[in-house]
Amino acid sequence: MCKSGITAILVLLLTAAFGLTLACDNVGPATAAKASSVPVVTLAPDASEGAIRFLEDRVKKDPDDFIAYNKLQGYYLLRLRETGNVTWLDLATRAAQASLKAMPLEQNPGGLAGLVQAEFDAHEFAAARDHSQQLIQLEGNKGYPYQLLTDALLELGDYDGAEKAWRELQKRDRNSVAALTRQARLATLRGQPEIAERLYTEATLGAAKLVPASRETVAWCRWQLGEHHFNQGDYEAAEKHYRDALITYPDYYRALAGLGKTLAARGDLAGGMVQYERVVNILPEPAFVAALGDLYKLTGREKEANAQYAMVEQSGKLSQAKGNLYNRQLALFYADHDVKVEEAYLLAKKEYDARRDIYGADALAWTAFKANHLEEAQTAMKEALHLGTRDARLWYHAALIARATGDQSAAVKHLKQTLQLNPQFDPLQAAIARKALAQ
Amino acid sequence: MRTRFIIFFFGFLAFLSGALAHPLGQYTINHFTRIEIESERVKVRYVVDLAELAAFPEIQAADLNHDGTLSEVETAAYLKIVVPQFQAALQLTADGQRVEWQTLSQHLSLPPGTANLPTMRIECDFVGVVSVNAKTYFRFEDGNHAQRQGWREIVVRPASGVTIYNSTAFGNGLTDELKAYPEDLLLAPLNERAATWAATIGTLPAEATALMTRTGKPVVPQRDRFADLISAQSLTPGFVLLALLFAFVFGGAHALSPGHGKTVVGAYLIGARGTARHAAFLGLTVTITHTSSVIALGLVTLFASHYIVPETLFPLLSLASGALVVGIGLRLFAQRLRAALGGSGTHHHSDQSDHSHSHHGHDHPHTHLPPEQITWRNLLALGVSGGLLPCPSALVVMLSAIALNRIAFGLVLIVAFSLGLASVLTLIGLAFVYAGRLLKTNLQEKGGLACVIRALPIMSAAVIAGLGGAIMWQALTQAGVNLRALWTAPEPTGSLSTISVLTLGLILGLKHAIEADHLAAVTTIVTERKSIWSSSLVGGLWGIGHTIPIVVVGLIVILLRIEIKDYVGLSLEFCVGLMLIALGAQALWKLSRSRELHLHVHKHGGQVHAHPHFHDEPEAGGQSQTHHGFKPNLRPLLVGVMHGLAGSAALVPLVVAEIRSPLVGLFYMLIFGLGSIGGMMLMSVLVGLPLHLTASRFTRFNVALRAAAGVFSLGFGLVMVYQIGLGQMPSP
Repeated sequence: MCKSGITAILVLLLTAAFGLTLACDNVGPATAAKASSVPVVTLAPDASEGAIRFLEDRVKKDPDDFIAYNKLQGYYLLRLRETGNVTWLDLATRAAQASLKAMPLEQNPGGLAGLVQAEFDAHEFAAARDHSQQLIQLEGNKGYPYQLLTDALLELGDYDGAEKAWRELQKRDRNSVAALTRQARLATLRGQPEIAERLYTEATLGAAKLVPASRETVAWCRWQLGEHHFNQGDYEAAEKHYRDALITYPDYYRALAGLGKTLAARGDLAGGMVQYERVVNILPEPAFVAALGDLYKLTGREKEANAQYAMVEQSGKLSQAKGNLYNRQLALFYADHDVKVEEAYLLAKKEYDARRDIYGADALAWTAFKANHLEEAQTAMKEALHLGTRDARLWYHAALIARATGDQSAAVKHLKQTLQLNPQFDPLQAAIARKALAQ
Repeated sequence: MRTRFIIFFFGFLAFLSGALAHPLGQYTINHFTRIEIESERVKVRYVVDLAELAAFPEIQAADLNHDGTLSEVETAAYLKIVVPQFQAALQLTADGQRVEWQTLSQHLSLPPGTANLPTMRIECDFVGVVSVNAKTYFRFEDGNHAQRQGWREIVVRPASGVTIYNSTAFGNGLTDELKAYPEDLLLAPLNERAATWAATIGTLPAEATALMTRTGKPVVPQRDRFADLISAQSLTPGFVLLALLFAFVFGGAHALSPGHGKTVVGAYLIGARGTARHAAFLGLTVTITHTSSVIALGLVTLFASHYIVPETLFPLLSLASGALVVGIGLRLFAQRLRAALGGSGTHHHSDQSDHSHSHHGHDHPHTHLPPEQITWRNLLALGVSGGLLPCPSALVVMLSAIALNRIAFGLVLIVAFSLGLASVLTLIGLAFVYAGRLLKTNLQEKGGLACVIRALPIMSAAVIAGLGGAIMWQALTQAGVNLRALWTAPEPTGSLSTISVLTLGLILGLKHAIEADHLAAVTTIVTERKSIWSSSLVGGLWGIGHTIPIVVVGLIVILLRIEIKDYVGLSLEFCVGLMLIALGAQALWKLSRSRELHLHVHKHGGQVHAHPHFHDEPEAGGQSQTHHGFKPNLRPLLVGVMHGLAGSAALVPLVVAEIRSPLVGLFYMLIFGLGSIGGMMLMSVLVGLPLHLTASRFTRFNVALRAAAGVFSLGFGLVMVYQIGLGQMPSP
């Protein structure tokens, strides 16, 4: 198979990858499509089991077929995105390693790209950054190495570097789905939601037109639109996008969780619970389990709520036993529920030492606040807000920290911002925010 | 917020992407199904393996008292909920007809996973009734945890006599029932949720695709040529004759396969110096037992499989067969040991044991050898034990015969098979007989090896008992009882510590021994003895007899989880009452005829003959009994067994309810038995003491005591029988 063919497949697969965007650049597409104008898309499943089995059989028979490994890895990563099941990450990592063993990376940029992707998904962001820079040396004329670099730098909190890398991507793959979604992500971070909305809409339209189209990519873009609208407090639009995503990809766990969150925000706690129960049945990820627990708690189902919380802690135990560095979810869960706050603080601090993105700073600030390290909380909060991100939760955290340090005016300002932007940003915390403002 | 969510998601990935100890993420629920198609039934092995985080909420839900562990009760309650759910979602249709599942076994374990967090593993065996005819289409679907990620594996297997073809499922598994996931291979989790196939009796139809293994080789069914005979295309007289011959040969070959107590037969005959007549009788018994056993089990399979699952009968039959052999072995051992130790003295026959005179034809000296112990009863028991367990392929023939409407042919095939089986067993027995004789003659010629000759029968009896034990062990293992697990550290038993439980057992055992109905029975026997030693031995024997059924019944109840119905216990108590009456009556009868030498007429082997006979009352050497070896009298033992049986019905459920660990339960029963042995020995001596002291001087007093014991026993028995029979006996 010719090299450009491999690359084409790779690019296709990679564009479908988790979106992290570059932007700030206002050079967007001329057409500003409205959310409602994006048609609902139905597509067949992407990676058939037959294709995976065929390739597995292929590499079993010929362990040197690095192209088959690379294709197989693309399918595994797709399955990972679809299901959130790390089995696929393990398989993808092994496929990438096997590919690079069969053919050295100098002749095998596809294998190297696969490795970067696997490292990124495994949260080895520094390694992903270094390897994507190596990939740029090999395939500097292509866009995808810059896409990978952008993603890694965004997670590491190097926003300026990420923007620079995104510009290179935009130069090479102008307004591709990959470029649009990274741009939208950066716009969101920099507090430009209108731009982000337009870009995500464009990306969704573009994803539907890709040949061959991937339902996971379309659903993912649609889910991003849902997230965007939820964060802007537009629950009606958010619900529509989540439901559309579920038409494109039935039982898509992210959209189910988003729908649950939105229904709860609209006051339909029972409906929210139904959606969260569905998603937890598919993938009992701690964030979903904790959210379900919160809804149980709000409706007085203490026993069930505690069972969910115990499950979150069990996940944390497992993660810590394995020595994982990134326990942001668990740290925030502890802080939100006022349990093990010191442990939460230590978890967030350890992570922030290795990875300085604004949400890491936010987790550190919030946990430090709960653990009564006010000075550190203030510093970290400032860092978390420095991009000007318009996020109700960030403001809520900032408000409570300001109030604790005696800065009443800043506290009131942030609380007002929070409740104005997204009055039901969290089933439990939003009530606390309102109470704080009333005082 | 949106971005935070993304990061949340990434956070989750990082969460799990560390070590990946469970090969499939910690949220997965993995499924394994193996479907085995027999001609009349479908068996399913269903295993569900929940990874750490999938297991966690389940364990929480099952842990009703929130003590962090699952007790047996909690496990059973949990399985009672989930297993029917599993069954409901396991849809198997045979020609469109939904198969209903019955549970054969279900087991839950919590193997430690990553960081020692528990995973959950549920293993079930189900069975359903189907009828495989010339062409039966099957469709299977596992709808359990349909949305959950995980490994899903389906395996289809034909039983002997059945052929599976055009199958979308494979004939072998990859993970050893989810115990070992392939980790070196690049292989996405298997996702086998449904399968279709066809099955037929007999051979692969033309143009059909054989069932394949995962490596693409056709599954070669373990050809069962005997079972194939029944499904032959046409039955010409020539073929039938040939088939009978084959069946005979297969039966013979089957006898050579492990089991069937060949060695037991040999060991018995060699020790007892049997004859060809014995061997032939043995063979006949085996044939009849095996044939009836196959037919009975076949009928059970056909007509009662809704109530009794033949699977559960197999280990039980095996257990019974083993117990029979152990019984024969122990009995022989006791007899031969006793005879060998006291063999040089006068020997006299007791009126309770059969005896044979087969040695009369031989001229070898036998004064120093034990008396012949081949008894027809022993032979019968041995034959039954050899034929009790039906050969599976004979069962297949029986079932196929019914399915194919060739019942007569099937029956003669089975008889021929059983005959072949018996012939080989008999031949082996004969070989042992002649080899044994040869050996003995040689040894005697050489002389000086008398001790070996003497020890041989004793050792052979021990071997028999040992082999019986091995058969029982095997049966229990087959029944899914993990005997080794019993020896692991016992769990703490509720509020009582293990030590206090056992101490309690000892005290209760002592107390138990002096219950009125026990004393009544033992006294009648003790009053016949004159020495203290002999009295205490009666008590000891009773205690041993009493312990055996308690332990045996207890083990069966604990391991097989059988419930004892109330009426069983009452019926046994009723029998005890009858026994007391009999003992009392016997004691009085004996008293009235004591000190008389009388002619004892009895019958065995079709011959009636008479010989002078002493009852045990007039001792040959007066008080020499103590150094003469104890008179063989198993009466106290048997009485003890009867009491033990009746007592076990009441005691065992208590033990099972109070004691969680099978091992502690077993110890408890043993110690209880020990207590009862000690208690009864003490009581026997106390009862025997006045007799011993008065025997030579106050005969009248002695007689009065014996009469009193007899009357007491008789009366007590009557009261018991009356009470149970009229008052408490509920209708079963």
